[in-house]
Amino acid sequence: MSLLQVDSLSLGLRGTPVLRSVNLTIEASEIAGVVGESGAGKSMLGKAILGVLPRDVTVTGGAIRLGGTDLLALRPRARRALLKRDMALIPQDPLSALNPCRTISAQLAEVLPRGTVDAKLEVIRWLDAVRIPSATKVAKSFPHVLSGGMRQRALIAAAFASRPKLVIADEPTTALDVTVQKDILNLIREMQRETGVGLMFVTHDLCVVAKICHSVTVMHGGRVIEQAACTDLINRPGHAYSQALLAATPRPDQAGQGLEPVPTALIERMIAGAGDG
Amino acid sequence: MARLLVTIGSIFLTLLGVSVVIFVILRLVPGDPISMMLPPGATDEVRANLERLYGLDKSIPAQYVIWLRNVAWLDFGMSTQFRLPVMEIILDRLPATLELVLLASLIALVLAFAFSILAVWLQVDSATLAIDGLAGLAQAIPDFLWALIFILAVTLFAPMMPISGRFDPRTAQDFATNFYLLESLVTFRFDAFAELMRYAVLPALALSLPLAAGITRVLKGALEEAMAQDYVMLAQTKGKSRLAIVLGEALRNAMIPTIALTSVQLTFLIGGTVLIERQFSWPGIGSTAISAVINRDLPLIQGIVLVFALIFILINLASNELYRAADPRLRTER
Repeated sequence: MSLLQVDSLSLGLRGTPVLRSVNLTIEASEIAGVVGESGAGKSMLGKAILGVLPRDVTVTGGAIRLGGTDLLALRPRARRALLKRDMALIPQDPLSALNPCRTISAQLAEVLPRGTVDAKLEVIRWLDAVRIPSATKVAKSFPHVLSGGMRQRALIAAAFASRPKLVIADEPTTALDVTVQKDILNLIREMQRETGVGLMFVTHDLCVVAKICHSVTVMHGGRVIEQAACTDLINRPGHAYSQALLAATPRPDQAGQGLEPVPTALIERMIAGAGDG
Repeated sequence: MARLLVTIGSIFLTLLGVSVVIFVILRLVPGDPISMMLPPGATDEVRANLERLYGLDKSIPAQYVIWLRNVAWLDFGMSTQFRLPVMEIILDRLPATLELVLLASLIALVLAFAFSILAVWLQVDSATLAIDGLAGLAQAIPDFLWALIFILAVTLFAPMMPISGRFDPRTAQDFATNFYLLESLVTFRFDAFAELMRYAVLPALALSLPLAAGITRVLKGALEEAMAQDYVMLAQTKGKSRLAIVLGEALRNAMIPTIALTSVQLTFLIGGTVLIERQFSWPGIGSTAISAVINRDLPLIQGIVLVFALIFILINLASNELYRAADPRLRTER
């Protein structure tokens, strides 16, 4: 059985479809990339799985199963308990994702699994694990004294410290500068490998996908355009849109080649086609 | 330690500045206490005698120096109107006002926190609308009008409820201080406390309603803003309930603007009890201040202004400390 199974999930924003019949499967120990441009619905998909959708976005159809449990059928309290136990989020913007009025230690300790004996020690162990220097001091400090990269490391520690089965990383490197991005990416991959969690990696960056993902889902306009193993998609993109996205992405193996913007005509054709389905 | 010394120094400097301003202005405005004391047809000789008695024949700087020297020994002079030491009058009257203000702010804070948290927690449009409407109503009606409404309602529907004074003179109890409410509470005389509360609750409520509305607006807005932040979304993914998030994540961040507004409003409240004290015959400092001004009771005005200045300074200091407690970003050691 797959770790996560999203079956023809549809979301609506006051009647306007946000996701249209999206299917997605993530296996345990797999890094599944979800790529698409802004507005493709990739972040909404993550939020729907976590159950933290904005107030006016509702699930209009489909099912989300985590290890066989239908999340949408759970009562709020049971879903919260499952969320705390089995899922975690690595957020997009580390600068705003930590509560400025609470210490790093407090924000990390609350995710530790039930029955943790020495929470303080465990927090410091996790901060060490994400290679935050002088973890003891950082644990006691408030977020504003840390740099963006350090905060993202603390947030990664928080995501893995609850020992979840599924981690959703929502563009975790977008808000960071390029030199930090690489470190954070490596760190996420390393933590994923050590803990064996299933990781859903939401990004607009095909380079990042090529680097760390096993499978890729390409999204556009709230629907899935193509799903493939990562190497297949990079080398033999099936859908015209995937080809266009690739052509618009700088690739180290094809340095010197110009980049092509995604053609407007293609987008228009896809939107027109979406009307039929 | 150094910070404490600087703080104390700045308190004294501020008070000194206030004292100069009030002393000079009071002596430059027309009207003088002697004219208020003299009977019609008094001779110039009597007037000169009285002026000498109160030291008003000396130059303003000389008067100021004498007064300041006495103030250093906590002697604020004699009230020309009551023929009592100013200190005695203030100590007699101020506690009544402070208790009223304290009770009013307590009620306001409880109402404001309860309604703001409720509105943000429920996140139901109709409830939010109702709370906004109530706050608008409470704020649109000034405190003295609320007082009139309460007095009217009580006379009509609950004639046994007192609407005048601080306690029933027939059942007057022995109190060591003039903080009757506080004293009865800390000495566990709860029946006396309940009796005193019957007198205090209406003026306090009238004072508190507009204040509660103001705090509710700020606190609710700040809570709503905090609830839209990323850290709240992350807290949701940690499986926290909405109430736990409002109380545990958003409330602390919403405290900062709330402290700012409340401290400002509190200083207004202490100066603004005058009308309420008049309406409920509350024996506080507000009505004393008014009669001191009308009767040109210079020593009493000076004393009251200095005490008010000190209270304002202390409220400001307290709110600064509260800021630092609420917002770790202000606490970073440099």
